[in-house]
This record gives sequence, structure tokens and C-alpha cells, in this order.
Amino acid sequence: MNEKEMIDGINSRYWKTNLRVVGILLVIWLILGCVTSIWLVEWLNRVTFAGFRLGFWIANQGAMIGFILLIFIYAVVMNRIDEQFEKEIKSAQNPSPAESEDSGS
Amino acid sequence: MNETAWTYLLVTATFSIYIGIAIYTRVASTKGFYVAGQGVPAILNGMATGADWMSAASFISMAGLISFMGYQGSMYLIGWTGGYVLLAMLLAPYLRKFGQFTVPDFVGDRYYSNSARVVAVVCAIFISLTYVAGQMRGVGIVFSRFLEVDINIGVVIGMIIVFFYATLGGMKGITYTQVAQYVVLIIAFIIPAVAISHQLTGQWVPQIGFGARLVDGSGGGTYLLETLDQIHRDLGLPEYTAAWVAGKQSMLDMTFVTIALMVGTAGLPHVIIRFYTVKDMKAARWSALWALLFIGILYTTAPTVAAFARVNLIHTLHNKPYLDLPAWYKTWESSGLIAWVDKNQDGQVQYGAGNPFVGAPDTVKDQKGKSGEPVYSNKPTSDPNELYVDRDIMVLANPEIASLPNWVVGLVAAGGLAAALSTAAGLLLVISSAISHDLMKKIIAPDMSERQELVFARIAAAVAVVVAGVFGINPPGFVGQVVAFAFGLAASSFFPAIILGIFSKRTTREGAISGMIIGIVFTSIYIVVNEFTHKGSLQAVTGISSAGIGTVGMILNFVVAIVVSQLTPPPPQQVQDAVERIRHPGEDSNPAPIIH
Repeated sequence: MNEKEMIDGINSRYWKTNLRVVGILLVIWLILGCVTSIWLVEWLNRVTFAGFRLGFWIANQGAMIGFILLIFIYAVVMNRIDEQFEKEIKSAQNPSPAESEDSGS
Repeated sequence: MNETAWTYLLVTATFSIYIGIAIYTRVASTKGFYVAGQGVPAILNGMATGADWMSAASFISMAGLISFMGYQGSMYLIGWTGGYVLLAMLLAPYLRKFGQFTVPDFVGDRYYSNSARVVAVVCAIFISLTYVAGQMRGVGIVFSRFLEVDINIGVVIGMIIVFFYATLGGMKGITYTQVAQYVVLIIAFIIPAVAISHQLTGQWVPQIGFGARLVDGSGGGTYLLETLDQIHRDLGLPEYTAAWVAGKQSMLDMTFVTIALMVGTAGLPHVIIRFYTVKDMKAARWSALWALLFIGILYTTAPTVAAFARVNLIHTLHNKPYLDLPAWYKTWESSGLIAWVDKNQDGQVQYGAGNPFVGAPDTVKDQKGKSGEPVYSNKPTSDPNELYVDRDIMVLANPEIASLPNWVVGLVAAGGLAAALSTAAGLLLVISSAISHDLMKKIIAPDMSERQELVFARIAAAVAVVVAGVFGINPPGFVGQVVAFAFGLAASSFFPAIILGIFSKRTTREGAISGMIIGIVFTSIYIVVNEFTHKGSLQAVTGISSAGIGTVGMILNFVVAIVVSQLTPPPPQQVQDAVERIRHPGEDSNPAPIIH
């Protein structure tokens, strides 16, 4: 396998990983945004905690907190994946024995 | 010191800060003017995005809207925050990596066509202009209500301030003033909320007070939200926290509106360009997180303010003799935000379902009712309700209703101005760059120098300020529907074009252009017919309101763009390579080529 094919392979694996991460997080996003906050709200409202009906609380507070957490997870996970793949590409470009010292950040 | 003195002091102080920042951050390059030199730290960009995004509507009107809608009001909360998840994961990092200055830039380059660029320029200007008119109006309203200045003079003062920092500092000036404006607006929103939460529930954190028991007075010992539901039942209104009951918005419409707001948020050019100002993809992701965190502080507080203010308002006014009403009532009565008609002639205020009379209050001069109240020429309705309440009062009069100190009132005025000015500035930059960069530099006069382009950018910003001011002084009849328009159009035009541009290499110029045009035309026609020519006619058939139709427009856009793309020749290799490059990890050593 030559260098270009190797790098193309790494790039396409990176994009697939990206799509998988985004896909999973967006499913949770849809559940928070539409399913629990709107479609199932009456059913969830039968549960109460503190002074809240559960469905009402999710729509007014919980979903937003969830969205912030989703972006947090996305930023941490994706930035780490980015770094990992950048390293792989670098070592594919310079397949010298010195690459192991290239510890990045 | 009285309220007016405090307001003058705080407004002057904050305006001086904005002007100081403008002088300090003035720029001399197009990169500085359009994208603030692309070196803004993620956390500061998050704050700037928060101020850019949170407009007069978020600050002044949203809590009031929720207060009158109850559970259904949460569609604004979910819609306007949920859009950031889409921005963070589907747009911001890739657009940053593509590495241009504006949204029409991306559309024009990705769809290898100046026609696509022009369609994008027209959409960007139209969306931003409708939105900015509301902001300038907001500035005028805050000035007139807090400082007793004529609304038009207020608009002109706002224009001068924005003119100063937008033309001098461009995106760089705007970014750093927005950071300062975020700080001002968040303090101004949180302080009254904390004070009221503590007054009513003994909890300092409003988000906790929201679910706590009331401390004393009528309803003492029961939960805030239970009390609110009880009050609503007593008044014959649908329960505050209930979902699908008679008299409230349907599940179908709420779903469509929520999605339109989410997608529209992700497609608004003034929000998207904020992510061009950071260093790289990774910073764009962190920036999105900071932005939603800073926005979330206000957005999770807004529904608590809505509930507190509602309990306070009804307790203070319902079944109380007009002569015993507190002083704040008289202040806001004279500004036309609250009004009372004594339908049953008992001298007491009764609140309930329905409107007290038709339209906004129109005072009859030199005429007083039995209790000394102003008389209105509006035709009373047969509903038992005697009280007219403008929704904006829930935030504007909040400090007075809760008898907070005078300086808090001044702070709310400064906060409202910060929210309106920061959003106006971001929108004006979109308009200015669309004209000087996308239209002049990219299409009409590609040979002009950077210095000339900068002159054009400043002239365009200046003209845009004036146009916005004119709209603010003579608001077009549709200001109320402006939000529906701006979000519907952003959802049905930019969002699908950008998403397909990144995630589908096969999407062609013909597909994108026809998708955008059909999406926007469909959405505009629906809104115009449903709002202006035949009010409510289309909603009666489809069950979808004007605010929700953007969702359908977006789906149409996607379908048309995908189908047409399959029928037209694939994009040139060069473009497919450019798309391929934004899907790679890390930063490019060579920026994306510019294709004409």
C-alpha cells in the first residue's frame, strides 16, 4: 500500500467515525427536543418530583441542560478523535522510526 | 437616586464602554473587518455569540410570551437552544474548515456558481434586514419607556452607537463589544430573577425556586407551579403546566414550530459567521459549547421569571380595588402596556380568560371613569376579563412589581439595550459583507484592492445602519411576524443548502439553487397568505401556523435539491475535492481554492 492510499484510508475512516458520533448524538437530540418534550409530555407529566411535572420540567429545563451536555460530549470526543487521526496521518507521512517520539500534545 | 437618574447613569456608562472598545479594536484589513482576524478565543466567541443571538425578543419579550403560554412557551426554549446542537455538529466546524468569510461565500464556492451566490446574498440580506428592523425598534422602545425620550430619538441614538463601532471595527469591534454586552445583559436579567425567586420561594437560585414552595401570602406552603395551575383553574384559564387541553396550541403545530426554530437558528447567517472568527475546527466546537452555555444561563432562567411574574401579577391585581393598586401600575398604565376597563362597575380589577377589549389600548383624552381610571375607545368584549397586559411588561416592570431598588430598573434598561444593539450589529455586518464582499468583490469588481473593498464594506455598513434606522422609525406593518419570517426563511433556504453542501458531494449547483428558491418561495407565500391576505386561512386547513411552516419549506428544499441533483451532471472534480478536504481531520496547509 502506498502512502496516498494509506492516508485516503485514514481520512475515510475519520469521516465515518465523525458521522457515527454525530449520528448517535443527534438521535439523543431528537429524543430530547421532540419525543420527551412534546410527544410524550402528557405521559411523563404523570410523574412528579419536587414541585414539577416531569414532562413540563424537561421541556422547560431538562432538554436545554441535555443540549449543553450533548455539545460538551461532542467537543471532547470529536477533538480527541481529530488529534488521534492527525497523529495517524503524520506517522503515515513520515514512516520513520522516530515517529514514536512525536507525542503531540 | 431615582429610577431615571440610575437609568441615565447605567446607559451612559455602558455606551461609553462600547465606544471605548470600538476605538481600541479598529481594524485595517478585510480579514479583521469580516472575521475579526480569526483569532478570537473560544470562550470570548461563546460570549459574543450569546449576545449576538439573544436579541430584544429574547431579553424583553420571551419570558412574557412564556408567561402567557405556559407549557407551550417551552417551544421557544427548546427551539432556540436546540438549534445550537445542529450548529455545533452539522455546520460550524466544517464551515470553519472550508475557510471563507461569509455564508454566501460558501454557497457560491461550493455550488461553483455566481447565481447561487446571488441567491444566497439576497436571502442573507432579506433575513437580516427583517430581523434588524425589530432590533432598532426595540432600542427605541427601551429608550422611550425608561428615559421618556421619543421612540424615534431613541432609534437615532441607537443608530449612532452601532454606526460607530460597526464601521470602525467591523467584526473585531463587534465581537469585543458583544462580549461586554453579554456581561451587561446577563447581569441585568439574572439579578431581578434571583431577587424575585428569593422573595417568593426563599430560594436564591431561580431554577430551584421554580420547583419550590411559596413562602407566604396566599398560596403559602404550596408549590409555585401548583399554585399557578390552581390560579388558572380559578380564573377559568387552561392550566399553566398542562399540555394538550382546549385553548392551547396543538401538538402538531408545536412540533413544527419547534423544528422550524431549531433549524432556523442553525441557518441564520449572523450566527454562522461567528464561527468563522475562531482559530480552527476544534475552537469552533468549543465555541459552540460556550455559546450554548452562556445562552442557557438566560434561557433556563426565562421560564422561572415567567412563572414568578405571573403569580405576582395576578396576586397583585386580581380582585383588588383600582384605587389601591401599587405605584408601578400607574407608571405602566401611562405608557399603554397595561390597562383596565371596569366592565361590571365594581371598582375592582378582574382578570380572566379572553381579551378585555379589541386591539391595543387607545386612551380617550381628558376623560376619567368612576374610579378615576383612564377611558379607552376600544370596543369591550363580552369576556369577563377586564385587564389588558402587554407581554413585555413581565420583564420590563418585573423589578418594580417585586419592589426591587431603583438601580435594578436602570440595569434592566441597559440590559435591554445591550441585547438589541449586539444583535443589530451582528446583522448589520452580514448585510455589509454580503454587499461589499460577495456582491462587489466576488462578482462585480473582482479586481478591486483590499483597501477599496474595506471602503465599500464601511459604506455598506453605514447604509445598512441607516436603512435599519428607517425601518425602526417607520416599522413595516409586519414587525410582529418578523420572527416567523426570518426563521422560516433561514430554515427553508440556507440550512438545507449548507448541510447538503457538506454531507453530499453529489449535490449540484442546479439542485441547490432550485431547492433554495422553491423552499423560500413556498414559505414566503404561506406566511404572506396566512398572515396578511387571508388571516389564519391556511392554518385552519393544515393546522400549521406561520411560525412552523419553515419546517415544511425545509423538507421541500431538501427533496427538490436531492432530486434535481440526481438529474443534473455531478459537480466538477475540483469542487468534490474541496468537499472531500473539509471531511479530513486537522487543519489544511493550503486553504480551499476559490472557484468562479
